[in-house]
Amino acid sequence: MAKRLAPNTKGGRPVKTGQFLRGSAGLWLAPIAGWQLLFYLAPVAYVFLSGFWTMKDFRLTPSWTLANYRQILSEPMYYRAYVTSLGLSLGTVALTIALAYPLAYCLAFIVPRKHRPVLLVALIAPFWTNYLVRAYSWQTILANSGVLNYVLMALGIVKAPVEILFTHRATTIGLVHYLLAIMTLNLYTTLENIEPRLLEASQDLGANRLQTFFRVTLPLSSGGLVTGSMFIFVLAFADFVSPAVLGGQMQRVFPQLVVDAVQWTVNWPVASAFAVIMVATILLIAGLLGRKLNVTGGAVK
Amino acid sequence: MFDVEVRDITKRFGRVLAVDHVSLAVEKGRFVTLLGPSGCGKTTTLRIIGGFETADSGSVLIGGTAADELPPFQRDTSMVFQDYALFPHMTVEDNVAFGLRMRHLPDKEIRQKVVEALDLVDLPDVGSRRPSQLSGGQRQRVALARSLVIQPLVLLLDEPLGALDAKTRKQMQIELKNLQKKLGQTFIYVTHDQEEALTMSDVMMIMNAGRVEQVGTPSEIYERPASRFVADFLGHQNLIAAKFMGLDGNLAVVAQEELGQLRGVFTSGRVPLPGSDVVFSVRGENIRIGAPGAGLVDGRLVSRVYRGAITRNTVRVGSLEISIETTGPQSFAIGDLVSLDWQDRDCVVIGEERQESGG
Repeated sequence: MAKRLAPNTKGGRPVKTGQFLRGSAGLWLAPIAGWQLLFYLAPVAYVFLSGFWTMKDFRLTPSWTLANYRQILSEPMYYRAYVTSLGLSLGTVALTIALAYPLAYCLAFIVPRKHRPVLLVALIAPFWTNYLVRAYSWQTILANSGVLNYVLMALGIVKAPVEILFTHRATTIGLVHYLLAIMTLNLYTTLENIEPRLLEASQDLGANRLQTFFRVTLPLSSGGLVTGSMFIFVLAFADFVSPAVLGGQMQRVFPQLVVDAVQWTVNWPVASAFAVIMVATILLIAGLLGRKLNVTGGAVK
Repeated sequence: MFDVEVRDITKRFGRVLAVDHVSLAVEKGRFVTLLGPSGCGKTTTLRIIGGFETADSGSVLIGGTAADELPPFQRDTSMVFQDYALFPHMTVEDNVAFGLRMRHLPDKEIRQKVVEALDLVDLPDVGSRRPSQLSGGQRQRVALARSLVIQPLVLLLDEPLGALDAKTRKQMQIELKNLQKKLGQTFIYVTHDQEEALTMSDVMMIMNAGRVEQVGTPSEIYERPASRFVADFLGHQNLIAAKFMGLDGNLAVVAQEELGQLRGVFTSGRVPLPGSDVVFSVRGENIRIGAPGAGLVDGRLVSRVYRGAITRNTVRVGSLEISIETTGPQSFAIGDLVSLDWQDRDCVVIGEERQESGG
């Protein structure tokens, strides 16, 4: 009974809640740490290790060989796929920024606050549609006999159908459509957090609207730009739906090689090596962007 | 010519009338304060002068020319914001240099002016820091330097000391006033703190519900409040309802049920009809407590609150409770019968509330 009345006592002395929480931080973190260890770090370690293993008689056999990496690096097709993937994802990042920035700016500074929820829902709504379905629906729009070419030819803008589907132009369109909302939301939250007084102060000191944008708004939104770019790059670089459904099979991208290695050649060690190279690339880009974040101080409130 | 002239401006936000036919003329080198409770329209008036809001009607002249169509970046004014509004992504130096860069001054000149400006606000060593590394008082000084360095015709200050602790605020009041005098810079200063306004201003404009209640020097406003609102806002504790009797020389004679016939300086423009309601005010610091029968009126000392430099006594006279501020040792005890005495010239008689300001 006494214990129930004084739950925060330890050996008769009162224990401050803060101390109690701090003292047992490990305990509180244990479930999530265990989860991460079991379902994330362990598989990643397994993938990393198996990149050095070999397939013997269709069986994964532990070894310590660099043959998988050597195979990948010596094959021009793989190299081309890597460069294609890199170009595609960086292009997607650039395009989403170009489209999302004006959109987010408009939402944060021009649209009255009471209308924003509706527009934000409209922005997120496409996310509720399955990505694969969205990718396939782009096929009907972008095909040689699709909606887009029909309209372009009907208007007399082009004579012959523009070849978009089954090229990486279509892949880029699919990726941008898939990822635009993420970038927009990232930018919207940072732009919305910019103190309006700062923009007033800038104008007060003699900067016109354009100067205010480049000297105050843009630098203060660099945090959102960088985190948004990281998201977009990671998702675009690892995506194989848009390349497969919209980009055709001619110019393969890196994630497709992983799929090939797993499904067709059943060479798991090579697939692992591909995966490790992808992870390394993503870490490298994230590191570069992260440094940019520190330099510009975009995260400094 | 006035540095700033506000002519009959009105501003509505939706159904709220924020500024209601306000006019103001500010002479060069003056420290003008807009004082009033929150929501009285003082900040909106300031923002209209700075170009951040547009008046629905009326006009603003800056340096003698109409400024109504000019955006903030083309006005010869600069604003010191309440929350400082320093650019967090720039160093202190870059913050101060911002306005100069926008004016395309040569780099060398900019550097020199930035150093001078930071010296002026007594912050010579923080140039390379970020605003987030400064204390509130330091940020305020940087904001001041950033605005002063572009040498605006008029400096606008929107409750600039509002976020500072009491001690820093008192110190900054003095510094700000000295700086203003030294530079001969025209200030338009917005505050809701009457003490701050009295300390710093050359001219005060008291606002209430979007309207101007009274304009005058601090002593005029404090000693001769022209409306009940002004008297109340400036801390007059004894506002006593009375009936107007007539004028006796330059004093108004009023009748009060408990206190009898009283005299005081009549402060509101129009002389009321005999018998109309007026407010009689005698400030607590102008009343002396003495032995019973020795003053104008007798009453009983009912309470006493010690407040450091002064002691606030309450004396009940019939149904009235009168506040008296005394200093030094107290010669009467609670419950004692005492007398109250004051000079007629320390009292004011305020005409009844202007009907048009009732809304």
